[in-house]
Amino acid sequence: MRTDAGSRGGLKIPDDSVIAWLSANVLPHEADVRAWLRRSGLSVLDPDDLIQEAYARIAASPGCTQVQNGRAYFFATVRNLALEHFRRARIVRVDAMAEIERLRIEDDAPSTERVAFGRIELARVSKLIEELPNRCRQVFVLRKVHALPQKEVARRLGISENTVEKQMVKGLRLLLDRLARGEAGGNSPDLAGTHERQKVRRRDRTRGG
Amino acid sequence: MSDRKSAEEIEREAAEWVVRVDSDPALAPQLEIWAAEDPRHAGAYYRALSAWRLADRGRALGHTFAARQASGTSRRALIAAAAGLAVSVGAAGFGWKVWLDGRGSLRTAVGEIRWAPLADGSRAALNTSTVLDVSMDAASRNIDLQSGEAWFDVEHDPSRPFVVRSGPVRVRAVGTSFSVRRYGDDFEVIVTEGTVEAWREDTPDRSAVKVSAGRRVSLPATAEPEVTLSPTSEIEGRLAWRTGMIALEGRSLREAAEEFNRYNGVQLVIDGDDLAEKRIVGWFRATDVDAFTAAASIALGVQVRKTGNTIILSSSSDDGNVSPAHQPL
Repeated sequence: MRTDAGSRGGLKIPDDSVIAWLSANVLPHEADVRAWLRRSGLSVLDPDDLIQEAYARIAASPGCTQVQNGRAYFFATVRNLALEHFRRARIVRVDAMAEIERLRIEDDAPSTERVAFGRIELARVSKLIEELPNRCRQVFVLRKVHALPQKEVARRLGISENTVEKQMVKGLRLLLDRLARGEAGGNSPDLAGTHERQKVRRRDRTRGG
Repeated sequence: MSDRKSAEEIEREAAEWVVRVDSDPALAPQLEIWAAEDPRHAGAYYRALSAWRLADRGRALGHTFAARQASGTSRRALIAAAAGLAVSVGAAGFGWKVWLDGRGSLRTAVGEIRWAPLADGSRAALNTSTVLDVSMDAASRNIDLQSGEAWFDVEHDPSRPFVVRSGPVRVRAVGTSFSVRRYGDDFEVIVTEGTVEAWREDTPDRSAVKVSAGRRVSLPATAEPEVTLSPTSEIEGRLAWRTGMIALEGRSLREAAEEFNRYNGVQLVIDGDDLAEKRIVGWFRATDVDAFTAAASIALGVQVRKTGNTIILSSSSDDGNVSPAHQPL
């Protein structure tokens, strides 16, 4: 249906401005989108699949970096993907789909998280890196914070380049996992985290009522 | 589906690509081929690359960073799992004080669901358009289901068998829970607890079938009774009307329309055989036709037309893939 593939069989990876935009406007909201998917009872769909497809679609849409509200755009894209999945399904979960529609208001809500994220970004990144397992963190700090080439990191730590690579992959995956779960707090991580969780619970209660 | 790569597998591959291409840009063409294989590949790659970019901001933190000890692993975020589509069961219609001593009649209008305590301590729930005559004395408990559908939770009393009659059909219980539905000359009995005996008076041998909990039996006029073992979810679905709900557990759109039409003056019509055979899942308030048609229009991309007392659902005139309300931004 989609024509993501370039003419020579490969996919043109979007330029760095798109990735930077995703990093600042989409990724920070992934935990909220996932929480929203869980609440909406769409357990028949794999949220990981939807999220991955959403990144692909957003990055492929022309002019996405001009979008002001990345959060709303992310929600809308996931919702559209979910609707497409449901329409293709042999058995259609109609009530869940109606639920998706009802929930669309949520992405228009003023995003305090978004505002907050801009401010606490640095602390958040710092915390994410700090919480990596020891060896993984060492490698990650040299490679990302000090921006050393892979070879140099391997030399300094007396490990193989292959090990550096493995640790970086591990670190990156842990980072993604944390972001997906919304575990990374801000300046006062515990407070920020608690606040967000309470908010989610409150919403659950309101909806369940 | 089974050979479909898991999201987790793709995520791992994507993270590997990010790290490898970052230290060796010459690998980019290979990455591009991998990314073209599946939109999820590309998406997972962009996602991992975004996180990689995010980590670059750590540079602003400078060298003070490396010296620090790792803090303890943060507590797991215990975001309460979604209650999901918790169906809120309305209290309306409950608590009817219909106490029947001896003889009496119970009836429900179209769309009405009614719970009624009976004189012997049993309970009855009447579905839409149901007429029920009750007659009880020291030796017997007789219910006559004239039309519609009713569920009974029978008070245990071996000295007084509890018999539901409906046309030629008889269902006998001592202490158990079951429902009886009459539609035309066909009958269906669903047992939720204990065992009942069911038979038709208009068959030569009047032989009874025993039906135990978790099973249902249909007693058609022209064929042998057929006992079916039903999963709990299906039984719950079929008796969802007791709480005013319709459960469409994989039923066709045609059957869904028939269900809604039992409860409402407004009648649903499905235009087109392909559409009518589309299978759907979902729980709805039986009297909320609008919620159902709205959901169907979103889910199936159908057109909804209202003329008088009829609502017609038909396939959209265009490709039916994206309805106007759901265009991407």
